[in-house]
Amino acid sequence: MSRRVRRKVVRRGKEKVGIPEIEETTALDVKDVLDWIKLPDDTVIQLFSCLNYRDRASLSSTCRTWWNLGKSPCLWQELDLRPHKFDSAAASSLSPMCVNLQKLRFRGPESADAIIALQAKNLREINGDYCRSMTDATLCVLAARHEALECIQIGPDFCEKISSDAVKAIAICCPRLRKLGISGIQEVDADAINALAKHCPNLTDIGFIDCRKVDETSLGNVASLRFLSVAGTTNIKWNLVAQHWGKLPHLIGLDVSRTDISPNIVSRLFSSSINLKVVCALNCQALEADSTFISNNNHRGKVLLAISTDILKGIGNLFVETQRNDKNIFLHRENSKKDKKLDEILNWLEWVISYSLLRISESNLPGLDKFWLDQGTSLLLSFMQSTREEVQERAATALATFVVLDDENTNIDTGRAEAVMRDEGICLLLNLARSWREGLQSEAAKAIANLAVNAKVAKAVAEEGGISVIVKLARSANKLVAEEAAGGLWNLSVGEEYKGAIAEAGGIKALVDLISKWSRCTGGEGVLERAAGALANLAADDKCSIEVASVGGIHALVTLARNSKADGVQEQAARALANLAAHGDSNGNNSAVGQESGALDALLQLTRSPNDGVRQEAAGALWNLSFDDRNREAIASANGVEALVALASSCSNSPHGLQERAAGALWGLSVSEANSIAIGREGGVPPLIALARSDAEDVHETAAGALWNLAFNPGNALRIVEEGGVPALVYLCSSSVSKMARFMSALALAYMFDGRTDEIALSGTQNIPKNVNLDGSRRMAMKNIEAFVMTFSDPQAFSAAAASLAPAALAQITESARIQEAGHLRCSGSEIGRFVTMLRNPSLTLKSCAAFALLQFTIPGSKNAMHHVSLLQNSGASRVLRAAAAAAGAPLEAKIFARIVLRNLEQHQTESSSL
Amino acid sequence: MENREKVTSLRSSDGHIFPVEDTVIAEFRSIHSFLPAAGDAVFPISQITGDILAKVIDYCRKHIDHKLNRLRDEEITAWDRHFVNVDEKTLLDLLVASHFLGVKDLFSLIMVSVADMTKKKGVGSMDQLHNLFISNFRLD
Repeated sequence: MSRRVRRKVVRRGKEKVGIPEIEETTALDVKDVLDWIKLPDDTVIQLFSCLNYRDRASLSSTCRTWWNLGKSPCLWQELDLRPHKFDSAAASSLSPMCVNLQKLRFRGPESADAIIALQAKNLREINGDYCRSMTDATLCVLAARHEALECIQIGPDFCEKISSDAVKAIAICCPRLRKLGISGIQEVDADAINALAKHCPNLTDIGFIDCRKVDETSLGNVASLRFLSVAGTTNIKWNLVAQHWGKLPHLIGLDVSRTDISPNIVSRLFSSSINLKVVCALNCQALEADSTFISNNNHRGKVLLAISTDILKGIGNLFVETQRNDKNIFLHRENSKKDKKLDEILNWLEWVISYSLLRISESNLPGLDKFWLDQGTSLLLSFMQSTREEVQERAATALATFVVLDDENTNIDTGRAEAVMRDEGICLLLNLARSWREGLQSEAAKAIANLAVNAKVAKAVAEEGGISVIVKLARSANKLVAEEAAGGLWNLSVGEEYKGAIAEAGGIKALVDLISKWSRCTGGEGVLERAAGALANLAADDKCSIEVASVGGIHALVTLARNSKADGVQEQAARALANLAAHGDSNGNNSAVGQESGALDALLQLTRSPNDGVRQEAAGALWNLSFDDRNREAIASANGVEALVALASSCSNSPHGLQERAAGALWGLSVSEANSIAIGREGGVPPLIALARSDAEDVHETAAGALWNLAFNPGNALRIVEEGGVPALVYLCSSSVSKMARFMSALALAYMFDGRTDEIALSGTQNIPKNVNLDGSRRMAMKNIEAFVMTFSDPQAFSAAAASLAPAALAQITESARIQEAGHLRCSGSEIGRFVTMLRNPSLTLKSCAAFALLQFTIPGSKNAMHHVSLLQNSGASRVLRAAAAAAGAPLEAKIFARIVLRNLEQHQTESSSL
Repeated sequence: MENREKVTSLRSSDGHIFPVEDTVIAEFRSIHSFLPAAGDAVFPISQITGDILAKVIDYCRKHIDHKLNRLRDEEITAWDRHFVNVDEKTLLDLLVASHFLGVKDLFSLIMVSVADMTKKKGVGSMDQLHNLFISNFRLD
């Protein structure tokens, strides 16, 4: 009993008058409170019937009586195996229960093979999907072992391996057959169909859907036929159809959707067939082309349903005596319930129309916008309220499909999504999601997930209480349900609005649990990718990221990144870790991720993945992690330098996101000089120079940042010169769109030519290749540094400031010179010291550049200003700064910048003393 | 309205007497046919306690009001939701009572809640149930 429930009860007890106060109970005397034993047996059986298999199993394991009740044949009439791994071992353990099994749904040919082991001799109905590779042999054995079969449906995939032989075997083995539906057969020949006509006197409903070829003449021999569907079937000889099908004495409904039937044939069928009431011809090009034929709805009481006819009205006309015309006949079936025949027609129509709508939505044909908006959406929504689970499911699947325009970019059609919303579709979908049937739950969750890409739908879902519904589904033990629900949370967590609500509904724990659970099993990639994706989105929020960590998310995600073999899962796990580590300032997740055992190794391993996305997210995670000093060194000691240099060298043709993060990770590592020396040694300089030449500004920033850090070391500086880095940096410094990139490349150039490189060159510890023209490079660098600094100086403001030195004028200059993002840069003591030394450099350009850099690093209010100021104060830089500000020969901007830095120092001092 | 209608008296297991209109009695599918005519002696319902019987009667009255269009659809759904928002013991008692009296709608309503309740239980609480049953069924 959960604590929360009990508390609520106590409170409510007090509110209500007349009901005795409910005692606070403890788990020990549950007996007195919950007397389950007093439930009559039939009540317990009903209770079972409201639960899924898993809950039934745990309930029946409570006691012997309930164990026996759980085996009651009435609970074992239907079995839905789709979400389960079903093999012959599972089948034999289930077989004692399945003596009276009547209806079975399964997924995949492996399950089909195992069905025989169930020994469910009384099976009446089987329904299989995803059976593309199901063979004749399997289907023949199925038919032979289950002679009582009345209904066989295999589809909607193309069952190309099934042939006429299997159909014939079904005909001979299953004399009670009423309904046969198979999709995607190559050819159904006369022999097979004649066998059906001969052996199956009750066969009323045939669907040969999406077949390559069907023998038309012999279908005319199946005299018992009442409903026939050849939707999507090709190569039909329509003349034979008109000639033979018109004679079928009982044919009521014919479905020729998605075929090339012509108006002429439809009229001939209407006139020759006695009982034919409705022809369903959705999306038949040849019919739609003849608008006069379509709009002429006078076929002597017979109805043609097409994309451009009013389908609901057409069906309503079929029942003109019994039905009020203005109502949606699928939603108001009280009348048809009384009339068995009508009910049968409606059931069939519901089935074929939902099927065709699903197929049409899958192929996403152009030109159907109007249809979807005018009637497709409302048809699907009314099918969702059908009494039959299959129809409801299919309608939800179609809803999930028809809004998607483009799978790759998760692009959905706004108009269609809003049409769903307008007809209260969200409410309906959430109701399906709340049902206990797992097939409905998963399809509804899928539809909600897809629709929630639209911001308005997401809002509606949240307002209808959908977030807690989805979170509840994410806790499902059913893989398909959990997968779609996690997908829903993934899509809902994209924006900032619902992260909090998801967390509040317990979504974070649910997702982490999903990951822990499914990373132990095989086949859970879909769940894992979506759950990790959702966590990645959630982890971008500071508060949520703390919760992710507190419920064991770090361990789960690291395990996932380490063990998963699927690209999508690896990518999302790495992204989630990257986002978790992105809150270095506000919580301890960054160091926590790094300290999780195996985390860094796993991420470094992922940088070698063949998949760009995986490498990108792994590099991003390492970059974020390297903000923590301890993590940075741990990455380096786990051979991170080699891995990341290799990554940077291999990504010259990769997407910008990957290039950015690869350079970013090296930037992060190179913060310590030991690492930057290692990077230089491992050959990191050439790839970074190559990346600096990129045409994306994000790459500019990280490449410039990394080169700046590297250039601190004179050996690296020489390498950069040697590898042609000067022109690359000069290019960045002069023409990058990003101010940050220009700033950092200017600083890199300043490091390279402030004299230390020359010392190395002169001391001969490193050989300068002959072809390097240090002086030429220096001239070019200096020119560009100067030009860069000049872009931040406004002569007028400068001269005004120089005249007055008034705080307001200085503040104005600071504001116009400020590079916002530079506030995030954090320099070490030696770097600051180097800039201070640079202030005394004979080169006027370097003087100004150093003053400019120090100005950026000390602007009050920016993140690392305090740190830099204390470094400056400790090194006694004020004297140097004052000298620079007063120096006669220095350029005006150097003097003013130095003065501003001095002022920044003073300001910080007064601030800290006032604290 | 109660005054004009015929009334039957029911006595709960703990001795409470409930005068009940015949329209409500008609909802008790499994017992209404053999209840004595109105006005006769009090009919004992020894399986159900007073608080639970009161709730069942309350439910029936509300739903009769709904059938007579005195309550709107959304009002009755809200009322139902409120009605089942009780502790687990009461739910089970209501389930047994509605089953015994044959109040079908109430039975299905409660059944869904009870099913939800069992679903919420994790493995741990199932074990508790299990122990409970073992102790109760030692003799069977």
